[in-house]
Amino acid sequence: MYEEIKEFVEVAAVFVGGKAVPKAFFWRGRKYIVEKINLEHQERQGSDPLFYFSVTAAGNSYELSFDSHNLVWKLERIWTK
Amino acid sequence: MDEVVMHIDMNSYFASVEQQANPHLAGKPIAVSGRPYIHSVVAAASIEAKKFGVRSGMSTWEAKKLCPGLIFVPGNPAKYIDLSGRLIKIFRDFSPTVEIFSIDEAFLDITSLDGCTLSDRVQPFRIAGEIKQRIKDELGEKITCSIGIAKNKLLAKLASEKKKPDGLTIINENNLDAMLLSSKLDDFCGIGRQTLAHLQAMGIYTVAQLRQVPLECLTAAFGRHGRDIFNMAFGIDNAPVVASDTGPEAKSFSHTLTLERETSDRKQVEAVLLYLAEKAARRMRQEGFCGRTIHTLTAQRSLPQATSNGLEIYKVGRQLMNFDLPVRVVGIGVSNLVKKDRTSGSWLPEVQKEEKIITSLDFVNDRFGENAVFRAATLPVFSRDRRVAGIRTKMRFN
Ligand SMILES: [Mg+2]
Repeated sequence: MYEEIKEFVEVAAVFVGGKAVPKAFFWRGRKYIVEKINLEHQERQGSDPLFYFSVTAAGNSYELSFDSHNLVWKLERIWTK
Repeated sequence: MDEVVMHIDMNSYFASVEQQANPHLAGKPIAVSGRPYIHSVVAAASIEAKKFGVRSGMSTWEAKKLCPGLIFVPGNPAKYIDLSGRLIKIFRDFSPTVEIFSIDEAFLDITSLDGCTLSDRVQPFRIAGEIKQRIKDELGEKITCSIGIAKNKLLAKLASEKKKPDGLTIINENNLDAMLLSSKLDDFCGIGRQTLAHLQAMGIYTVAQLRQVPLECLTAAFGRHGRDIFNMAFGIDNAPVVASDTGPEAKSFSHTLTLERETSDRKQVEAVLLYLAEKAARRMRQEGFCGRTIHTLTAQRSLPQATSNGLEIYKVGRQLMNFDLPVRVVGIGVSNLVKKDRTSGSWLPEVQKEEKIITSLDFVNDRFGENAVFRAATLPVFSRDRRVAGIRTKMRFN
């Protein structure tokens, strides 16, 4: 099951060729290394695009979003078995 | 020389996207559904779930009974639409003529591509292989498609149905009859449940039997559609691949509206859709246009005749909408535009009456401002306007 989190998180990312690539995120005092980006997609929030990343970290699945207008990252949801 | 038409059908599209996003779902029976899972329907089943008999459109409890280990995943239409857009971009790198058939299906006319013939399958197979590879590289390896290649859309679609997942099938003169005769009647695009039942009631159960039926019998039973059914048995389809214009340069009248939150309230969504259809239609009439192609966010359909009638646009839009998933964004548009010729008004009395009403509605709206008059069915939009973002109205309803 997915658990909706929707909390702002700190993210270490690199920017390659006009694209954001999350490498690690910090959530509730823990650091999660992004092992793999499984899927990327975009959604719109008003006129601004939101970039979504479905990632694997510490053996579990997480969905992060990046708001390129406000330069903030959110942990959208996590997979709980 | 024959045309070369390719049909690309994404395999268990929504479910594959979810399996791609989350490796914990890969290889497992999953069902993409609305929220909450109970009292919802299956919008898409994974390949693994289909083996248990789980099908889209089934209620979630029915699906769970067939497959107790079934994992339900809430669907996200915005995600599927975005990824479809990326798929279409890939397809357009291979052919300028891409007809978007649904959110997960498209036709490509590849006739003009170098060395592309049906008799020598090397080149079409190479193109299909490249498309498959690019989808894997750019979207993800779990997102697969079945590709059918043939001389027309009917046969290309039939071919793509032959092997799932990750299929690649060609129908050419060598195997045409074998392919047709081994197909079930409802394998053909255009023979739905109703038509199938009708054919069976006439004692027609196989393609071989259908070939024996005189055209007159079929037109008597099915009207205009009778000729299509007659042609199907022989693999004939004269409809060309028509490039869908979805680029920003394509002129269309369209409106979208983002709801404040997702809803599964069909009545509410239909009301918004009607409101948007009326809005688009009114702009078309102001600028003197009619349009033949109606599109929603995920699908489109072309009408035999151009229209600028909001109700007619809405009715097509409603058929195109997928109500199995909760809706956040509602959109409708009309493209394939023609300048309306004032002299060639319709002679059909009903149509004339409808046009008269529309003209008078426009008149009132011109006089008293937008939304002074609108169809009663759009009322819920306004009576619940706090639930709908982006609509402002000066009118008050109690
Ligand atoms: Mg499909």
